[in-house]
Amino acid sequence: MNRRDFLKLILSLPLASVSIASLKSSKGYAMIIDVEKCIGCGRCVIACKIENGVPLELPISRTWIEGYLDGKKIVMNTKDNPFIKIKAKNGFFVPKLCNHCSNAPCVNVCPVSARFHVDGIVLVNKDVCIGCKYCIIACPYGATFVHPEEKVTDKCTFCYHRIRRGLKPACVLVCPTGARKFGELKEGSEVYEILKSKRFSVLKPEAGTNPRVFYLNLDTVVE
Amino acid sequence: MKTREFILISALLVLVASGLLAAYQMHFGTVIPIEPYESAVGNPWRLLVALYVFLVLIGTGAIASAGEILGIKELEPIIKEAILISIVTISVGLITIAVDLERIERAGNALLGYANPMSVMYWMIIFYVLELLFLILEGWFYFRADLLKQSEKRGFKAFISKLLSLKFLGGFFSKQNRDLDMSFAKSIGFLALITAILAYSNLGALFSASYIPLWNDASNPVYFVLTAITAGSAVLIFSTIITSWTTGKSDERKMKAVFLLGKLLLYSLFASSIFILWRTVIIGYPAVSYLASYSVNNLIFGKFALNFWFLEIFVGIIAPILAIIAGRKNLDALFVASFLSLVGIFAFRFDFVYAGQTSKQISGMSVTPPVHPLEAIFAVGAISLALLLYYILYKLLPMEVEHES
Repeated sequence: MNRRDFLKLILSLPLASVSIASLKSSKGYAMIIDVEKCIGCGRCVIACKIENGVPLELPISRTWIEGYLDGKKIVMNTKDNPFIKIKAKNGFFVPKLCNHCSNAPCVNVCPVSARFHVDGIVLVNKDVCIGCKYCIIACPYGATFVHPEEKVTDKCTFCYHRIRRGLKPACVLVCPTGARKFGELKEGSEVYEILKSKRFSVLKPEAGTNPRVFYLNLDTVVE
Repeated sequence: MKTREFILISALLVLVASGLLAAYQMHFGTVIPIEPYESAVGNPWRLLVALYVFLVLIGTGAIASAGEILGIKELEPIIKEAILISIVTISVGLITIAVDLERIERAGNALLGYANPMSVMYWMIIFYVLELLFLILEGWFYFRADLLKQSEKRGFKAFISKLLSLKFLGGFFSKQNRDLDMSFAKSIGFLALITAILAYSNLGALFSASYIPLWNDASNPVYFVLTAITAGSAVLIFSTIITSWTTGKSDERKMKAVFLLGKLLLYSLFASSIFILWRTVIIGYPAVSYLASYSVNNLIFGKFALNFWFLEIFVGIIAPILAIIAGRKNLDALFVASFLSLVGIFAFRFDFVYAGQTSKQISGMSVTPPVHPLEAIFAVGAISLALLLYYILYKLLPMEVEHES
């Protein structure tokens, strides 16, 4: 370890230690997305749509990729990948999804208790949702939408139907570069060890939502 | 029925039917396979939400109750109108918001079985339903003596009066009964006033409790109560004058009440202008946050600028203030002022709902779809329904104030 790395480690310790301390108290599942590893292939978007019955051609998705290419934001949320047509000199990709906030605004505002936490995951009771769309308004991440066929609000569930059976979420499974890691936030687990050892960030920390989706190597504040 | 009345009712019925068809098409239609206004392609809350806010924030009932409780004699001649307008606008407002729900058939979930007391929206529903119930009760006690009196005559109106007054249960008209009814009406009016203030301010809080910079403002609850008073007085002035013109009956006491409401409208417009100034400056002040400034800039310089400066500020505030001040004791001026302020208030509701969402970060998703034709048709239908219901109730119920003399 050279002097530069040592100083980096020292500077990152207060931030990381505070975050790890708060993680210990929040059991349940979490996802880590390494922005440096994401190549914007869009397989996660398509896999998610197929797995969860979200129409492929419509610009709605439980997970989507934002490409920040030469300072311009481009979004992939259908089966078509817009990134392959663009020749950009600089850029990076940020996959996004429901942040499964511990302090979830959508859970708080729902007038019919259709949103609730299970194992740290925010789920939607589609038999109860009235489609008032207050959750869409309240979500700071734009991660919830109205399913055009089911006529209720829909969003990422970390593929709860899969993880209950010990499988990985569809997006994690198909990612060719391993940019997405998923698991329980408990000592010894892969996600816990990564968060313990690396600097990470969350989206819109100022919203005070305590997200369960953590980003590695995300230096720029993305919208 | 006179020809003019027949044409008016037919036109309103056609518009209401069109609105119904539009609502059906929005929910079950095959013309638009995907909801035209779902979050991915636009604002989640759109014209129907703006219309709902406009309708339920017509605080005539609150004005009536306040007038009754505070013993403002000048307002007594228009209390019946005020209660009726409130019942009609809140009912149509609740229908409007129910149509905006994606699953209209589950609307009852919000009241029964699945309540979330943490949700501001849950309390909004409770307060509005309670306000409506209290207003109906208050109205019933207020109207009962006159209904019993009317039921002694012959004809359809008498039959309706018998039914509404529950005369078959043994009620009869007497001065003592009327005084007792009035004291009941006053007590229930107090409850109606409290729930009205809770409902109006809660609706403001519903918008405040979000991450949308234009909405996330602690002054919303107070501002909503204030604009409810503005809207309430404007609607009452407008309806009383127009009813007097169409029926050809001019009641001096009602006109006195209208002039008092004119003063209330003037003061509330002054207060509104100060509120708007401060809200715009505070939310949009460059040092607050980029998104907050962006949302206000969008309102005052961006795509909502015409609505804001022309409809909200000029038509909705400056012109009515000038009309009231310049046309002292002039009914025509008051009529114009009330109409203009209603236009301005509707523009405010529209801009507030739409412009607020322009700053919402729905990644990669457009936030500028125009009003969909089906929404517009439904909105016109809903307003027509409110007018039709008020017209029918006004025709059937004993609206005269002879017992006051």
